[in-house]
Amino acid sequence: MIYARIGVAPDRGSVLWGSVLVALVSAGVLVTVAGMLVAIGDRSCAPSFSGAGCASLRQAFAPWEQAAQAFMALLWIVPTGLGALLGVAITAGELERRSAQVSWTLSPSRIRWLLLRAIPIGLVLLVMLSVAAGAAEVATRGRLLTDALGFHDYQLRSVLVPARGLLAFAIALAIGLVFGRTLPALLVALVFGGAVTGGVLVLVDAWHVTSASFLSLDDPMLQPASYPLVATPSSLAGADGRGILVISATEYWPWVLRETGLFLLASALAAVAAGSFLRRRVP
Amino acid sequence: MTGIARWARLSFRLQRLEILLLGAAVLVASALMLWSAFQLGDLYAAYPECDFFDQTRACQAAGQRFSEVYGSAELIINNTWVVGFPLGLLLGVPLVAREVEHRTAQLAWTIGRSRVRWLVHRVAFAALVAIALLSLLAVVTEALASAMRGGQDTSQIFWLHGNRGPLIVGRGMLGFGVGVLVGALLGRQLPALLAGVIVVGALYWASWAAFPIWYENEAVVASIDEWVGEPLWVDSGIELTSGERVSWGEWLSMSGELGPWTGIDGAVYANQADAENGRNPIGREYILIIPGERYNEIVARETAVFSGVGAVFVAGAAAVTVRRRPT
Repeated sequence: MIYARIGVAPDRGSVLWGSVLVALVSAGVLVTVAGMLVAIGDRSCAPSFSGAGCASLRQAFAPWEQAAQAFMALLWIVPTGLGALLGVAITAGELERRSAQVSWTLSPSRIRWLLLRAIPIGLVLLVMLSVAAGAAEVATRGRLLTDALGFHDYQLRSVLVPARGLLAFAIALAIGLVFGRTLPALLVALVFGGAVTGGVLVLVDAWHVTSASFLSLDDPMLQPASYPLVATPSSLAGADGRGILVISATEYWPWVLRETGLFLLASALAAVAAGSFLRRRVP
Repeated sequence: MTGIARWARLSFRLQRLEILLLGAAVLVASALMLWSAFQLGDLYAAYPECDFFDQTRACQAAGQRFSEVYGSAELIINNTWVVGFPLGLLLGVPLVAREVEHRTAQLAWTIGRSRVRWLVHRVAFAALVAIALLSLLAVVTEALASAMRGGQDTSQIFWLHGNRGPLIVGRGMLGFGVGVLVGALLGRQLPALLAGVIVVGALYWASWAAFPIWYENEAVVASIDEWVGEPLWVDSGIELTSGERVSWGEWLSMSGELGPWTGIDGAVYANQADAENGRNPIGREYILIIPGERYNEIVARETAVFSGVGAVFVAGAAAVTVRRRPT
């Protein structure tokens, strides 16, 4: 406990305001869920809103649904932004404050110093982003009015959210050591973190295409309500007419775990790079 | 060396890494946009007979290329509305916060004739840099928007309103003001940046809600079936036969039914059968708009509001700086 407190203390301001930011986004998401639940009433009109007297419910439901979508869209940038900010706070912050000379000398080793600082803050980051991902999960259930969410918005509501934050965090640790100044390091970490995240997503998309199966547009198995993962943006010509490449919703967990594994692997590489820079860095 | 040159050199040195990185980012973004604008211009010039938004077989090959370039241009310009805020924040936050965080404020504030004078010198240079960088983006986004429309004059239409032109600078000034004030209050750069993001988000949301209310009083009524150019859409609904105006949501809440249905004559009917037979209209559809001719006036007003609020925040930062402890 005392190690965790020592590890977080120098950057408690960043952790505090980061928590406020995530709490506001999560609270915004949950408020929209409450709005949707109130609007939908006893669910007699859900999910098609096609019965008599349902049009007004649809009208009341739609603004809350759009607001939930807008709040969830923030989860494309919050994990990378927050991870990068907390990462540079540790390494570049220490160098910029000129306290590295003392803290690196007092610690048995520099790597141990980094672990002491990065593990507690990394855990706080994971908890914050897990809360946001949980709120997004609840919001998606509220929007789709079902518990079978399949792949719908899965990159905004699963373990992938904290995994993306962890990747940006590890990259920022390394870039903070290179620049030694917080704001310039943050700018570069955001660009680099965003680029690496984008690269992983492109890789995953290509993997989806090679693993997906062709399903004819006339196939009764193709039910949009089951939310499979559509691996191609438009329909393709196949032997049985036009169709799309899909991954069944039943394969949700294997794919989420594979993607998470890729993000964790990239995070580990960035952490190793940070360790290597740390050994060579002049304080 | 003149006083102004010395001031500029010293101010630049204090923020050189941020300025260089932000400058590089703006230059790369501008170069990409200009490249897209030239590509689109070339395509429009080379195929004057083609309507790229309604392609014929003869234009398919050029249309394919056009779609690619237009798609990437659209992707960039659809995100330029947000650029001003972080750029302003990143230049504004460190002005006071870094001095306090590095414990150099005590020296700087003691040497200077007054803290306000010190802050004015720092703010003026950073604000000039922010204005210069954002003005470049403002000009380039206007050029790109015009190129996307085949060189059309876009100063009389609300197309891509907020994503191009001086509004980008205005939003940057708001972010800058918030950054200076929050930095002065918290005295720590990264926490101030996070707090600044929250404040800017809240202010942008407030402006998004407030501007339409303001415009409602100035909007003109237009009919849905007349050509109104590309105006700023403010509101729409049904003008009932009694003369009362109700929004679509209000009508649906009142009736609880699907619809209403709009007939080909622009009249609105309670049900589909009435609409098909043209009987018992409940009213006419109306829209509230700000005509495209007022585009420049509206942009100037919104830019002034954002910049003015930013200036108020800078004044607040001066008040905080005068009173706060330098550690």
